[in-house]
Amino acid sequence: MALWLTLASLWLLFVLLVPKRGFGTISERLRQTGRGDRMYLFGPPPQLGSGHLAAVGGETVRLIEIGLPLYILGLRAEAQGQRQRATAVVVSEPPTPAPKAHPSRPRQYVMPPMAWRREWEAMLQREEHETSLAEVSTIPLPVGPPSTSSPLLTIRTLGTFQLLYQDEDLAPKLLTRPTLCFIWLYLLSHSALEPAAPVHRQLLAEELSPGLNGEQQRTRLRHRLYAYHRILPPAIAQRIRLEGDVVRLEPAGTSFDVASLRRTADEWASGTGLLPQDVVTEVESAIAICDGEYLPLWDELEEKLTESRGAAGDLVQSVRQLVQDIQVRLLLRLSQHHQARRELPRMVPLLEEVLRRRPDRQDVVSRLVAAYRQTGQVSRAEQLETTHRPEFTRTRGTQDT
Amino acid sequence: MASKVSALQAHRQAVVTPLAALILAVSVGVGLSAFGRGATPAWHAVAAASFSLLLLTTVAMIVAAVTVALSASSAPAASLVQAEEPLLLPPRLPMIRRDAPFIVVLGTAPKSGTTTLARNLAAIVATEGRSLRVPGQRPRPLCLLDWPDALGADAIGVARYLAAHPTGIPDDVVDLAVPQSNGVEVLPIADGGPNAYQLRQLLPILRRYYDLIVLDLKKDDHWLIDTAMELADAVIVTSLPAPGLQAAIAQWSTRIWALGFEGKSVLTLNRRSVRDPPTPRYRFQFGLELPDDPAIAQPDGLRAAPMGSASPAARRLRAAVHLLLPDLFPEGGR
Repeated sequence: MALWLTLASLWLLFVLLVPKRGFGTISERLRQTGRGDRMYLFGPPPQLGSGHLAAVGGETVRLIEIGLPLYILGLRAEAQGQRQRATAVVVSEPPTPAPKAHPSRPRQYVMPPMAWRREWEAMLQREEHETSLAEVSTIPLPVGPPSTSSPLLTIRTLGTFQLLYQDEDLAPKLLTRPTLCFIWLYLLSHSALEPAAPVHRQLLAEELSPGLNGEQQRTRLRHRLYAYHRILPPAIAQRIRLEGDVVRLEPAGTSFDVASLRRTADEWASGTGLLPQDVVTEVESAIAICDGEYLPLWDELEEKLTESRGAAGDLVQSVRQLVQDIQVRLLLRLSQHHQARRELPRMVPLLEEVLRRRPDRQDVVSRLVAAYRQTGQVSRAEQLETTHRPEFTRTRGTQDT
Repeated sequence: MASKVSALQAHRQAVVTPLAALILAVSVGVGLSAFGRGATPAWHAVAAASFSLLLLTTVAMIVAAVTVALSASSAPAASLVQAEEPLLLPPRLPMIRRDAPFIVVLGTAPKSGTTTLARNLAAIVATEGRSLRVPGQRPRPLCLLDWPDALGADAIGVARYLAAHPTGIPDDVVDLAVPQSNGVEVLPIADGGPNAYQLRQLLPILRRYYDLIVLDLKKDDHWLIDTAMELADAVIVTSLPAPGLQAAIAQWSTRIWALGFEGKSVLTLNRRSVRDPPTPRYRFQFGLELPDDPAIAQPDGLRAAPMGSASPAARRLRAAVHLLLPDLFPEGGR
């Protein structure tokens, strides 16, 4: 009898105290359960039915599975983990959700109401009558270039119009005087096309007042130039240089985006082969800048001021064409860089963009077809060949010979 | 009865081992009774210890009964966890400490759960994070989902927009993103999505408007994938723990190692269960395991359902996101 009692006790102690599984993972399981990463030390209790007895049965199975000491430790860790999860869910004071993202729109110039414009014109007329023409002729206009120590005037014209001077945008001040704005932008566009060439006064007078006789045109221009230096901020006004019969925009002390693009293109677009890495970044940035239209406000300004009767619109159109040409040159140059690096997949979109802008460039078609073939895009190559078949065949024939 | 037996399947060691021990004890008892009755000193020792053993057993049984009764009475009526959770390794993740991180989520095979992972990663940041740009405001994450008509967004519209701007993408591309109720904005990039060149251009723009950008990439476009991995602050390679996918994991590991991105790549084993064999890590320096969670249903029209707060997978992912993006959370990822 003593033997059977002893053996039964030993068996019961084994069943109650000894864990039956997961010996090597107990400490990690306890840690994760205590942290709240796990709900149970092993698994949930088996669902043996409904009611309290079934729950007791399920818990008994768990107890037998892991032994009494671990079962007690596990219950403690599970309660601790439950508290951890409860505190993690509670958020003391939820912050406000972020609003939908919206792009920062460039400030577009809107022409002021005509009533305002008439008031300005009347005010200008009054001031002009008070000042005699003799006095006008003695007004000392700056002759030399502005001091090089003064801060830069940054002129942004592509996709926007900004005149940044000491963190202030002076463009709104200029835009409130449409006539003066017209003169300034005309000279700016002229300097973009021919940086060193000045404009004759008579030409400017004709553009400003088309349809008037020569004397009226010159008088009106003189009045406007006088008002220019009196009304506008010096950072803008001092850029206009009067030298005898010619007028020009002084480029010193300015940072003009079109001029910068032109410099970049002249410096880098003519070469072949690899570009330095910093230049690649500069060229990519220049290509992106070129996407903006030159002086988007010009058409509206010209229509309101001269009803587009002069040739100033053609001048601005020429600058827009110049910017597009620069972009195409830079795209081609960048594509040559990628070709030299054997980065054909990066070259393809550049050539596609050039072809979209200049569909007549057969040399680009040939390069693009070759790039398509080398990158395994045979169907696209054949499609492009079919589209440009006569020209392409002729070009290839010329190249072969 | 059958349901009770199936419920005990997971706990079979609690039945089998005691039964085996019982058989052993009976065998020993029969053996000793037949051959060694009253003859050996061991027999006397057993007889002397029987009382104390009996006492100890009685105490253990009383403690066990009380503990079980208390535990059964305090247990919740219905547990959220129906099956045993696998024992997962602690997450090993890189720490991203920069403005507007860019995270790429890739899958080794279809249905690896990349979209679910990307959406929930962004949702955790949107609902629990703090914006670094605007104090007192939640972050604004963006999900670029490889999913046509994702959550009401217009994938065709995005494709047309990108086709119209092949080289220069303007800022108004953010207008195409569709805000969700949890603060995440979604931009579908299914068919005709950005190519590698456009992704390079798109990223600086998106970084100006969003606190986190998550790209869910399923396309088999090597150039795009390589570029995305190059630009990313973290690459999450998602795989199911099936043995048949180990070759795919090994291929990804080799590819990432060859490109030199192993320092920011994380192997994520999704939907791990207790029965899954261990998966080798190959050359991945970082790893994350997410448990299988039946609460995350993926019916055809309703895939990538958001994880609930009680979901084990959500808890695990939340801890991982806090580790990965410490600066976007008020406690700094602790």
